[in-house]
Amino acid sequence: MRRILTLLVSALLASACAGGDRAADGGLTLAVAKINATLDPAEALTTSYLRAYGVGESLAKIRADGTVAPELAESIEQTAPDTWTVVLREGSRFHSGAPVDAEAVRTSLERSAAENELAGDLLEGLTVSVVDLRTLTVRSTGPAPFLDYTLSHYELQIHNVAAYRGLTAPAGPAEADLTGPFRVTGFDAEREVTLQRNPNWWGQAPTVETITVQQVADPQARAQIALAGQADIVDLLPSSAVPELREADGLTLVGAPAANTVAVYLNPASPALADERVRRALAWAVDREAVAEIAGEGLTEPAPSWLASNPAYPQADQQGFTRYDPDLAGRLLDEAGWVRGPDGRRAKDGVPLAFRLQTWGTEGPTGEVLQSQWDALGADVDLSYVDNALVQQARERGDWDAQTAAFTTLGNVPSLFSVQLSPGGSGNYGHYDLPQVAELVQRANTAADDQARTAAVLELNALHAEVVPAVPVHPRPQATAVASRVGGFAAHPLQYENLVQPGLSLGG
Amino acid sequence: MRALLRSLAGTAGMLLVASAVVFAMVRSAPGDPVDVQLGESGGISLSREDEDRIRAERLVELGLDRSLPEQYALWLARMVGGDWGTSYRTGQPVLDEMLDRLPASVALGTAGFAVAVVLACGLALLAGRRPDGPVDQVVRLATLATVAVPSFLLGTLALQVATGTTGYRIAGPASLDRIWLPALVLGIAVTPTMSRVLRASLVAERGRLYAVAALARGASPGRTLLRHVLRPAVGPVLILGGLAFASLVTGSIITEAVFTWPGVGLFAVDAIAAQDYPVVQAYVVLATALVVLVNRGVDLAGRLVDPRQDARAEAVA
Repeated sequence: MRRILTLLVSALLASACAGGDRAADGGLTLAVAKINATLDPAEALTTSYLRAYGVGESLAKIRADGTVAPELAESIEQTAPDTWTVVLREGSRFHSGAPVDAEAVRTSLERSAAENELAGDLLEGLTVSVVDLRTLTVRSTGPAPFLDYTLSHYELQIHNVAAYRGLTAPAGPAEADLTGPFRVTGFDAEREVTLQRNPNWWGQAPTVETITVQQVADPQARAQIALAGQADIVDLLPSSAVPELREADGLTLVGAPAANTVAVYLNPASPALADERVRRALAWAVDREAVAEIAGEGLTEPAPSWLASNPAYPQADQQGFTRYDPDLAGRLLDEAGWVRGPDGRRAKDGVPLAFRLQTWGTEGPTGEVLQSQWDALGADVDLSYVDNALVQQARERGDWDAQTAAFTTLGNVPSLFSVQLSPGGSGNYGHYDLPQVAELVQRANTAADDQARTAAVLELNALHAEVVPAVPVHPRPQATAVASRVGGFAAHPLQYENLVQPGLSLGG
Repeated sequence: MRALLRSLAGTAGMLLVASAVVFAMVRSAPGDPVDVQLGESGGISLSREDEDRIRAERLVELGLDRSLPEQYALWLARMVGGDWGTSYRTGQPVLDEMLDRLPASVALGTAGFAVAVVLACGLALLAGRRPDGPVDQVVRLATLATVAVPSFLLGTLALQVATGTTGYRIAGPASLDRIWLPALVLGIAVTPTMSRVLRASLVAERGRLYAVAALARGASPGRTLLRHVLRPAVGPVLILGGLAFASLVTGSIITEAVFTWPGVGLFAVDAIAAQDYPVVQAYVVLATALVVLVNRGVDLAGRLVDPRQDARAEAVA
């Protein structure tokens, strides 16, 4: 009891004082939905956070336009169909001052593969070899034209393995030894992280000296923080607060459509959705502009095809369901035998055109608008907003008709399509079996040049729009509030790139 | 001595039942922590075989591949031995995590309870002066209206008003400049029930012969209230207050989440979302233990305040 009382009084008093110090500090303050639990970049649930804080880096990074640029590497080039050569920056160092050489990079990747299942999956079948102090080669078992995307993944952040060796407790600031423009100086799991500019960073030194990141899990509280000007950058704001935030003084609301496509996955085992024409009709009957405006509060844009949310493939905007065409949708349904009755509802052989649509997370409003749009088509949509676990369970049982989900579209695109369309793909919820997929993926991976590769990728996208295993709707909206005094913030389609950026500055 | 042993055995039994019920409920929820972890791995699209392999490995790692009775027995044995397990998310011992956050929750619960006591006493005294009079009616309406407002709405509204008018700092550690607002919200949420019970009790005690006699003998109304009415009237409120205090310390989950108050409630919310079983189970055991202990303490306090309870108990025996 005495211990608790002592802790109670000292915590209140100490933190009351600490609050004042931080306010006087004048650094950048961030309010985020979640802070990680450890600082070990080999922990699957930590890596994206370290990236978001500007603490960790990979060999390469994905630019806002969807292309890959070297990051910790000076260059990263495909030198043979199955080989990429990585040359490290000269003189780059970890936060501790230890040099980042080829051996350190190899050891780091090995540790990530061994201790993080997701990193292990990315590195499976790859052989990393040290050529000299600054050069490595990464070899795959077959042609690997998209390996640069793999090496830019946040699960593969380069860290000083020696600093994490022999740890018996979760890594703290003393152990966190990475290479980013900021280093961790304080860490209170799931509560607060403090960062300081890294004097050893290879790039132009950031102008922001210190950063405080605080976890504010409640979305309404985060919106209130942004409105009250109590943080400089606030992420993942609720769509309900967007109108007020737009009008607020002293901040800019940045809405960057994410590089993932919110789509309605359709189960062909469901009687109403078995016919390809019905699935296509549903896709043509979606007024995507309206969905983006109403459900996405204008912070997102229509995605006519699955790949359209990937900025590296602007051609995908011209594929798929490029317009709202309820007449065509109606004709397709008529052809399929689902005709309107006197009550305006469609039915076939006495069976009404009806299906269940499950949404979860932030996709509830999208489901509501779609329900209304498909209702106008004569389809009865039974909408339910459920927990993700229930959505998964329904899928495992096969007891589902339609579900919203958003998969990333940025990265090794043929492999991402494979996951969506191949029989064993974890995103192929409807178990579609399309023989063309393997051949197109193979073509994309073995193409002689970029043009042929892009053509194969776009063919995969067209195939997706033809079969419609999922109706693409829009990229997930990402609403971030940035205070007017913050300069240099650049919106990015990857959520974790929308927090700490090296070019940030603090104005008056 | 025998009564004490009986009481301890009863408490242990209650904790055992609560732990078993919670264990069964938590594990019957759809999904598991590995689902949550794989769901958060955004950006990596796994093939079904890889996903199944990773899932199987993680389940073994977390000990979730064993049968449920086996898992429960292991957890119980460890808990009894003082090992509350390790959080799946933070990798830290659950007991340390709880002790780290408990002071903030105790502080908030105590402050909220103090607010409730002050408000409830004030309102009950006001309303109880003239039963069914205009003041009583207004207080009744106000308390009914307050009961109807959900605490998350009250919290969100309070947050909006306070940030605009006082510059209230929403995020940050548990500190004196942040505690007043959630304490006020918690206190207001508990006040209606406490004030109605106290008011009814006051009115009943005022009508008792000894109170009327005291007034007839020339005692002032204030002295009668303090010496003859308030003390016995507090009995029923003590029990209610005790339960309210326990629930304020461990049950203010929503208020802690709205105000980003770093207590055990907020920690439990995150744990529930991530299906962090050891934390959820420990939280419920802690909450149950607190309710049971406070209940026992209230029983004792009730007897001290109103010794007639003992006399009545003996008479019944």
